[in-house]
Amino acid sequence: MRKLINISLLLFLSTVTFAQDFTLSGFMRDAATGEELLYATVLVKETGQGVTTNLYGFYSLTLPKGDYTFQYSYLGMTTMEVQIALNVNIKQDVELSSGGINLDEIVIKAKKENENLTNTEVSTVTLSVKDAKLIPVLLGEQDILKTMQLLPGVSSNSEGSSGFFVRGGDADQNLILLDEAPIYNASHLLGFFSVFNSDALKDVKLYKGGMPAEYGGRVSSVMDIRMKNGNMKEWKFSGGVGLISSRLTAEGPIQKDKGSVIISARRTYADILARPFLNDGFANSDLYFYDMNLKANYKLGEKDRIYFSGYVGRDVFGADDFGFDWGNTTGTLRWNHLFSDKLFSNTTLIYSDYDYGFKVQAGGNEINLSSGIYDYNVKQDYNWYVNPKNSLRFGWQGIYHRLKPSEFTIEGAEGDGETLEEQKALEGGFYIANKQKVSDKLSLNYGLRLSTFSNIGAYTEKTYDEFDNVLTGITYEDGDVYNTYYGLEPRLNATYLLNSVSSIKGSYNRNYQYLHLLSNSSSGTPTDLWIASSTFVKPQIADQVAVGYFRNFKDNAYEFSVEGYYKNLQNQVDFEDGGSAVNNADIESDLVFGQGRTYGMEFYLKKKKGDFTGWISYTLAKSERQFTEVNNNNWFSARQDRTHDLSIVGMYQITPRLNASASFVYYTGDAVTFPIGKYFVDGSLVNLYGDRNSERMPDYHRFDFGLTYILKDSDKFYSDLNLSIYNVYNRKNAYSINFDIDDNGQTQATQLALFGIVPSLTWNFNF
Amino acid sequence: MKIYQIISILILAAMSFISCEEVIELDLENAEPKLVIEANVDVLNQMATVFLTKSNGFYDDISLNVITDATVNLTLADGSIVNLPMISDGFYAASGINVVEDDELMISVVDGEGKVYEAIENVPHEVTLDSLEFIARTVGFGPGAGGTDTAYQVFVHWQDVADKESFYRVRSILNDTLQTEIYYLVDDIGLDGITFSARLFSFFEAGDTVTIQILSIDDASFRYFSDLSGAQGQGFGSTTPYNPKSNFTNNALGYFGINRTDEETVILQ
Repeated sequence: MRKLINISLLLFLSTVTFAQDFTLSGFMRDAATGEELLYATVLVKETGQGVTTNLYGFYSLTLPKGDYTFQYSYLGMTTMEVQIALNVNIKQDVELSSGGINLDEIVIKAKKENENLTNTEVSTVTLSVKDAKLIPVLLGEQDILKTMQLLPGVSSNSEGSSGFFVRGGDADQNLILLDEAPIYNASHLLGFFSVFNSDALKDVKLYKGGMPAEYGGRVSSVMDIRMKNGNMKEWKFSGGVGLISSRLTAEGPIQKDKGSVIISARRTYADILARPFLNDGFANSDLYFYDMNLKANYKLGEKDRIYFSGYVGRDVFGADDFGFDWGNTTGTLRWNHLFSDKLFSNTTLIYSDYDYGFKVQAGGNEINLSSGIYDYNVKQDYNWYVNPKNSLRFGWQGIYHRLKPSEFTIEGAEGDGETLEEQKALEGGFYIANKQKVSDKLSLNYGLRLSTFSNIGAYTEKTYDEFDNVLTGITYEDGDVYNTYYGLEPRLNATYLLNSVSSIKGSYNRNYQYLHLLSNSSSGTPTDLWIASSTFVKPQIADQVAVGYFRNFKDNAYEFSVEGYYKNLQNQVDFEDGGSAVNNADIESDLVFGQGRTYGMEFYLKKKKGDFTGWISYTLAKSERQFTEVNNNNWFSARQDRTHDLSIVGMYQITPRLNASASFVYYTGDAVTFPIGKYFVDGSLVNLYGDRNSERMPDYHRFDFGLTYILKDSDKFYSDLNLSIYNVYNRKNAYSINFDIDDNGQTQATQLALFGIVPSLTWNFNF
Repeated sequence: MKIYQIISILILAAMSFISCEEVIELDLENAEPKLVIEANVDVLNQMATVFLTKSNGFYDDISLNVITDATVNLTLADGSIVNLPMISDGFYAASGINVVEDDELMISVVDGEGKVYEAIENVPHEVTLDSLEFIARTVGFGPGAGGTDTAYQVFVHWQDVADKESFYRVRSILNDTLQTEIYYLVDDIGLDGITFSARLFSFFEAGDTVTIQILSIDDASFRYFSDLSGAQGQGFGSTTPYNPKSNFTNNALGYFGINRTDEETVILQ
């Protein structure tokens, strides 16, 4: 017996001896501003092992005792090498500095240049905000969402719109997160600008497939946008003055290296400029948007840090007789805590809303309409750096949704106003995921997410007959939980390194979506309506597989990739013919349910080095839907079924002060329903329509050009002047096409083109 | 109330200073001509009328392609068949049609090629117009239109027949011209037995002779006209366009409807 104990003791000790592993952990920051660096890499030179920092700039590496050289690197910054004798657990915060301020170097000086080959991310696009700032855009208003649309697999909504489609999915299937708060309507001015002010943003990542398990709730993509934390070292101001808008950002330390704050605001003034040119009726008109980003953070100690981020944005549109306004509000409160140098925790409380209000004076009556969606969200995430080969992520999330479909009143008329019943629901998510380096060649990122969704009373759930008449109504009391859905969502990404210049990657994901956007219009208006899943409306499910081949050329100066994907969509929701989102108490009876399939090939060639940089992106794709009630149950093209989608972007550094950029886009016209004939009924001329989406809008193409000239660039003050010309050759791209009768009694097609050539000038500064 | 249309008009008006409209030539598929049947039985006047035309290609001339070689028959509830002879080009009619509520009527059209199109409907209940209420309004809507002219809008009041499914259509005849574009459709789902007060979105002026008609109609033509008013929206903010559902067989366009009408005529002072 004694012997046995001795042996076991010996075994235990030997385990301890062999397991003399120590942990190196810390944060990576920008030396100039103190901003945490996300997805930055730490590489062990001797072994080739490495990790990337998480969304808060934290990293952790556990290695056997020994002397190591660690390489800390980040895109656009000078790599730092640190030699460390790892014989105790070490906390090492690292600050990297930019190699210079010249814009070209930001693009070029990435040390780990083949990151695109080696990471486990297939179907993922990361965009640096600095990069995006060089590309010419409409009215000079920098826009991260617009830049995303120049990349493969991401296609834009109508002209100038910020809404986007990922791999043939619908616009509501994109989860857009701003500091973890969902944004339900990401566009200003009906989609001509996005709600994201580039000045306040740090990093944007778009997952087109193979979404990591910590994300859930939408089926087609995840766009994770992170705001800057604010300069930890000194107060800085930056801004821009443009033809239609101005913006200003202030950031600085609350207490040096302990806490910082950033506030960023912008407002457009198109209405003020346009007023002299408008007729009397518009003399008092308003047409503007504003938004404001605020973020503050404070380190409570070595192990704890809190963050608050908020966003408020509003569009206002009105004249004497009517008013229309809409916008998002979000607030995120986060607490980072280090349980140990291997276990990182983040607790998040989120509030997010989107609402709109509409008022019009008509025939002496005042008509009011309002609608909104409100989210209350609690989230807990853990990162556990088990060893250099495995890092584990797990956590849970609960969202309480309140959806107010519409409140509709008409003063001066009886019976016409109506308030629809509010929908309430609880959405839950539990996930566990692991990033594993199986061998030098093979890396995996796999996980499982369990999502749940329950409706909550008080609510009256109705059933309908074939003519949409109400058959029964089941009434649930306040607080009753009914109709629960569960979804099991496996996610897998794999990367196999063929050699130092090429790799193949594959991914599979299953996603559930419990909220659905109902849209009457094709272009997306603020009045589109979010509804919750119910007994009637099943959750949307997507399964996607993607494979890709990645190859770098000429010492990583060129990146090339080709990816193929197939996505299957279940429980798709659409309106039946004539269904309306506005003030419809029986909206569920106006819906049809079907399925979708999208598939395509994406080609991407990027030049990263030299005076001339840029990329070519081409997508060949198909996106189809099938509904029993539509087109006799035949498959038909989704509106965003773009067969060809091509973007060419080029940036040229002419002199150190002067930078030119240009972009060209071409895509197949949207699938639409057009008349194929006409006839008379009841004395009126009526169009005879063809099958759903059987015709095409004219193809879309456009060339933009931009010049940026640095006026002054010193340590104290920087300013540049940006000229951008949108639609250089004045192409009249169709925004909509109407069919009507001309003065001679002939039927005709009239197209509306929104923008011809639009030049603009913006002055940017920071000090 | 077409909130979308109001919103879109306003928004497009505001955007018009940068946008540009032009007529374009679109290569549209040309559909085979289809038969369009407008068949009505007017119970009050004991009239059955059928108007037969064919659809045109979108870019063809606007003209009525009337069908003159069809055979049109109405089968009454007792099985007797009434032939509707052609009265004028494409217009087939018969009088003395005597039917009562719930009678099942079948109309059949046989075109020159022998193709048969049929529809069956039941006779709806009667309706009585209670009163009309004309309200003076200062005309002016939206930006730039703030006028000071006085115009009249009409509220139509009638009592719904209780315990029966009802479908109503309200329309107006202004100085002997039927206003086909503006009408009001309402059913009594959830409103059984109430007194309806419907406002017609037409404006009348002093001196006008206005006849307001309230029609009790069958459910199929009710749905047809609901579709028709919702289907033809275009451009920004409209629904996906579609063809109204016909109750005729064999893919004919149009409808077969039975109506019972009550009306009142007023000369506005």
